[in-house]
Amino acid sequence: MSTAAPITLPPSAGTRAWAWLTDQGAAIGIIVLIFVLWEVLTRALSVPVYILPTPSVIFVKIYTDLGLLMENTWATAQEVLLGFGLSVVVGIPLAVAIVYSRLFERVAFPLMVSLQTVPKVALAPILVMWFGYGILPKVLVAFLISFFPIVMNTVIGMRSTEKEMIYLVQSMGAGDLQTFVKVRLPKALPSIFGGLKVGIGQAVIGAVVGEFIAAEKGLGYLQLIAQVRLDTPLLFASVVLLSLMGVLLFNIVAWVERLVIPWHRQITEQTE
Amino acid sequence: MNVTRRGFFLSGLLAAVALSVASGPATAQAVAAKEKVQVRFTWKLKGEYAPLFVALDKGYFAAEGLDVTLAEGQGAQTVLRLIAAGTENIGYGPAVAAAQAVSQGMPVTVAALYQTKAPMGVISFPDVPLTGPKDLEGKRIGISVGETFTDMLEPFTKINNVDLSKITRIQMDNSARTSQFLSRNVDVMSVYLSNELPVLEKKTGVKFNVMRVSNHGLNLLGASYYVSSEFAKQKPEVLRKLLKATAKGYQDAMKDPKGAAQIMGKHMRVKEDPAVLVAQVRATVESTNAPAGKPVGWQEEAQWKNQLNLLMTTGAIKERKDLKLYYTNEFLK
Repeated sequence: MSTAAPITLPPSAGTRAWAWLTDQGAAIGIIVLIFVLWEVLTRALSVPVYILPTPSVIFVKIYTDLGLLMENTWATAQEVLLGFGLSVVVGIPLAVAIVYSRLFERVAFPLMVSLQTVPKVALAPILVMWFGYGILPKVLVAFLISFFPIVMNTVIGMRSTEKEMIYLVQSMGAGDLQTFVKVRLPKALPSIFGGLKVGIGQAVIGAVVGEFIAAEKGLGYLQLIAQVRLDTPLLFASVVLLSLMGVLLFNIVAWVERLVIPWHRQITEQTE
Repeated sequence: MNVTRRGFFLSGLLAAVALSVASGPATAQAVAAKEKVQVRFTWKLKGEYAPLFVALDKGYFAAEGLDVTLAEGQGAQTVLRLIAAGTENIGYGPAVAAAQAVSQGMPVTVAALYQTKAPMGVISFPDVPLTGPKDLEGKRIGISVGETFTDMLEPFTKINNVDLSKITRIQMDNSARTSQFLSRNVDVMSVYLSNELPVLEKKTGVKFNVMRVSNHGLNLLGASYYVSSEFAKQKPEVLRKLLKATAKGYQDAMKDPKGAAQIMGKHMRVKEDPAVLVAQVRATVESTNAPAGKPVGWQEEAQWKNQLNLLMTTGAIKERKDLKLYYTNEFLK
């Protein structure tokens, strides 16, 4: 006797939108409330615009200076992406080497940890002195600040593979490469993506730190100019764009994660 | 199956990132016969730099056979270090910073000096009386490490018989000084009349009390060209041409500050208020070092001696090197 599974129809667009709204409604409501309070209070207390502009002034600034803001957002985005890309390209193979070689682990780990504990804002002026005002110092700061979480999470992920699992595939004749590709790597992917999500946010911070020290463009550069010119709306507009860029990049990584490891999402949703 | 396909996707993604790292945006530069020269300012574009932009805009550099790029920088110390390291050759900023760099043994020198009395001042809100240095007593001032007036406060009070212990000095980050002043958490603040003051007055609509420090015995060497000693040895002709064209830019700006401000505004990617620019350019040209019968930017031994003495008393420099290392008029001849 077999029982037929209940037929579920895909939800209509209207129901989906409603579901989304009930899901996110509280969050959106609070954000709107904060903006309204901010607007009302700054107007009521007549706070000068150079101390704290109202949200409406900031949005108007974003609208009127959109070209300038986008140009500088793009400059920062390039630094972030290159720095983050470098972290991935260097960090993941480095993590693999650490997992597979005890000697390498002993050599690389102390170096990495000591590098990690140095505030990157202290390294940035040195990098600028060596590499000048181009894109390279910013990319390197973004890289230095974002590669540690990527390496650490990859190492933890790869070490989390159960020994039994490895023995099992080895007993079935799998070589080192096959064990890596079929067991260790897939097992480590959720953890790797955890590291990438932390890393992308760090890369944004790194690029801006680099721009604060020496830059001719970028959102950090724009912030400095806005600050010396007392153009507080532009200062806030840069922060808004920076934050939007960070959220967007984070979501891109999360989206790639869902594409690459759909099973992980199912597991986490089941446990929720 | 799924796992490997996704795995491929991941490696594809990594490869794409790697490729984008490797290729980057290629900037093809047109081949020009003119000598390429880059001048690195010590700060973001502002009205003080207008004379150089006049020279650029009116083709004075080009007429000398130079293809000049005027680039923004971030702080005199960084620019001087880049020049000392050989990453860059020419900078434009306060000569005081160069004096410190030379004293530390950096291979840089000042090739022209455009301000012998930097237009620095101390300001207060109209309701806070500030007519002379003595008024500083009993006031709160924001100070920050590395900021010029912070370093000069002690000699300034000494010259003017002011009791330093009666001034409340509040240590803060340089970027916080303006906001602390505007929120009235400090009473007085030091500014450059050719830079921050016009911005502050425009944004707040307040006409501040201004005490110009050079009226009270504190003369600081201001805007100047820094050059690497190596470059000066290798390409003296280039420097001569650069200074000649810059002098023409200065002369034009002195004759027509408004026109110079307009030209400056044209070259700013982040636009500045035209009225602010005009005020900045005016304050700049009023303090320009254009001695009669000498080229604009000409330096006198006495000026440098006094400056180094002052810096020695403040402790800003520890060692006084041979005067010839600090400056040269060689390229103005």
